[in-house]
Amino acid sequence: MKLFLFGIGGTGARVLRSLTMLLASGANAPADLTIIPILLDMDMQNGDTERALRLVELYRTIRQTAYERTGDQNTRRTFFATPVRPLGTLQADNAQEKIGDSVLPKLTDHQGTFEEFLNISSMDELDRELLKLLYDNSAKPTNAELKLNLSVGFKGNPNIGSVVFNALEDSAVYKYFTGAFNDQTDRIFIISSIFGGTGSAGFPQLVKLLQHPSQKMQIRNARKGAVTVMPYFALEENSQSAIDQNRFLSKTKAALSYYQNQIQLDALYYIGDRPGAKLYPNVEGGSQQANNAHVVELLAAEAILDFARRGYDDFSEAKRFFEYGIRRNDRVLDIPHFADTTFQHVLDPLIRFTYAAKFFTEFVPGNLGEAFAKNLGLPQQLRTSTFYTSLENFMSHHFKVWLRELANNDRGFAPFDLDTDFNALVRSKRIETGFFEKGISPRFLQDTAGKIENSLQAGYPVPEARLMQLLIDISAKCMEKLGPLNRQLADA
Amino acid sequence: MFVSLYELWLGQNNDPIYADEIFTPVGLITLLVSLLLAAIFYLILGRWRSVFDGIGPWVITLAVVLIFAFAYAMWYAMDRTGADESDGYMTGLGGVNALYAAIYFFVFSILLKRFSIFAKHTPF
Repeated sequence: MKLFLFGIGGTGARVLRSLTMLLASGANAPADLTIIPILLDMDMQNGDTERALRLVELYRTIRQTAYERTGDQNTRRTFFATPVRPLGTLQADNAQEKIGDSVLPKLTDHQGTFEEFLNISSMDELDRELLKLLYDNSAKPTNAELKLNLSVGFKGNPNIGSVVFNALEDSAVYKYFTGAFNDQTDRIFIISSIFGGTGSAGFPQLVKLLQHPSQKMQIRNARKGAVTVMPYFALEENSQSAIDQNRFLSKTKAALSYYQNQIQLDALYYIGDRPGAKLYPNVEGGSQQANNAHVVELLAAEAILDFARRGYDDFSEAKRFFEYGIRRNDRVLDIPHFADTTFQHVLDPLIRFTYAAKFFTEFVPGNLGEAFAKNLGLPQQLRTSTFYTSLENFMSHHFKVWLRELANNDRGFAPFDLDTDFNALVRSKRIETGFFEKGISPRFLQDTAGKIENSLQAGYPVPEARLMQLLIDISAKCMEKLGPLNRQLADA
Repeated sequence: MFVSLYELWLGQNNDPIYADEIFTPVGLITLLVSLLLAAIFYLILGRWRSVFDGIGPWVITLAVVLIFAFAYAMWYAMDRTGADESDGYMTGLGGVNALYAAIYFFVFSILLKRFSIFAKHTPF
């Protein structure tokens, strides 16, 4: 099953970032699932988007080397299990134009102001005057509309974005998508924010387009879902910015009432949060817009997997709405705050992957003299081979950074203490240490890694594939040491 | 075989007891002890845990083999000849035996290291 995942605007990119982390950690997803992420954004330089793109690239590089060159049927695909393919790598019927293999295909060739996009200069006087009635014509950065530079997105103006997205149908990326969508089991999912500019403008337009009678049958009949992210952060005051956060809630209300009647999808997931005390920088897109990860994005990513896990018949004629709740309204969340299903689908894999990341990025470099490391060629290759450097980069500079951002945000999600040893890594349960093989000691890791690597040599002659299996097994051994977690919330 | 190996370095001793009763048992025991210690290093400790598998422990084991080989050859020669004190030939025998023990241990290391888990890359 292919899931065509449209991520609109900065929120789309941030949720894709969280989804990539979940997929890397082996969150519960159907075995036959392939994710086709398509980021739709005018702001090609957006910091959030750029970070998500790099992450997906790393994910693909790691996955390709770790699994796709192994023919072993017994290969366990826990980490990096789900294939992620850019749209441009699929075969597309009738696609006249190649779109490249980026997850962020170009939406339009237009580079300039909204005014130029509308080609106002060629309009007659009456139309020009009408447009001036509908849109602000001033050049002041705080309220520019016709003179808004579209290369940094719509700056919280869905009334502009919706006009630009109207042209989506004629874009090369959409035509390629329709050519590539050929299977009846394929599904479509859309990520967007309801309070910003790009997401709130693009989402209804895209849904309308996907259900238009002119679309081919497979697309119209496909199971479709969406996650709509409602306000969950507050921005710093910036009198020079066109983004007015005071309009977030009113825009959300207006959009919700529109969605209620006009958006026809099989499943619609709503998620949001009361903004915390930590303010996000109020920048109008561009490379400076790189917001810290938030637990809402993680849960929105889980909504995508929830949609993928549901059987075809789970969706009846009536559209289904989903919301998410935590067990207690604390500002810092830990593992017991989440429902058991979330624990099983997402958090348990996340703990495993965190152990694996700690092992690979902290334990391995200090133990290159061990036989398992030498057998894998790590003393020579750890800093030079594409696979090992990609894995190190993913785990150190993306995954751990993402965990720290989640922990430091408000609301925070802080299940791990990354600055301590393996025994105290999971905050909600410290592993008992002492003599007689208790705890996760360096000796335990050396012994376990040596024995596991030795047992894997026959089945996995390629060191990169063997390392991935080793990480899966090592994390399983750490989970055994951790034992069952207490799922009850401690008294506040 | 052992007689030729030892006489190659030490020359023939006037006392035929060396050729008849000393060289072969000393050589055989040295060979077996080298094999035993290499097996303990690679197949028992080297597969049990990562506790005694690096180049340092390997050198320690080699030193044990050398000490044993030297001391055993000296002791055996004195015991069989009934001498009260060691002479230069006996000391030479101890030294040559230690040399052969080092060679045996090295060869066994190369042969057995592939069957080890933790000492697979020891001594190199």
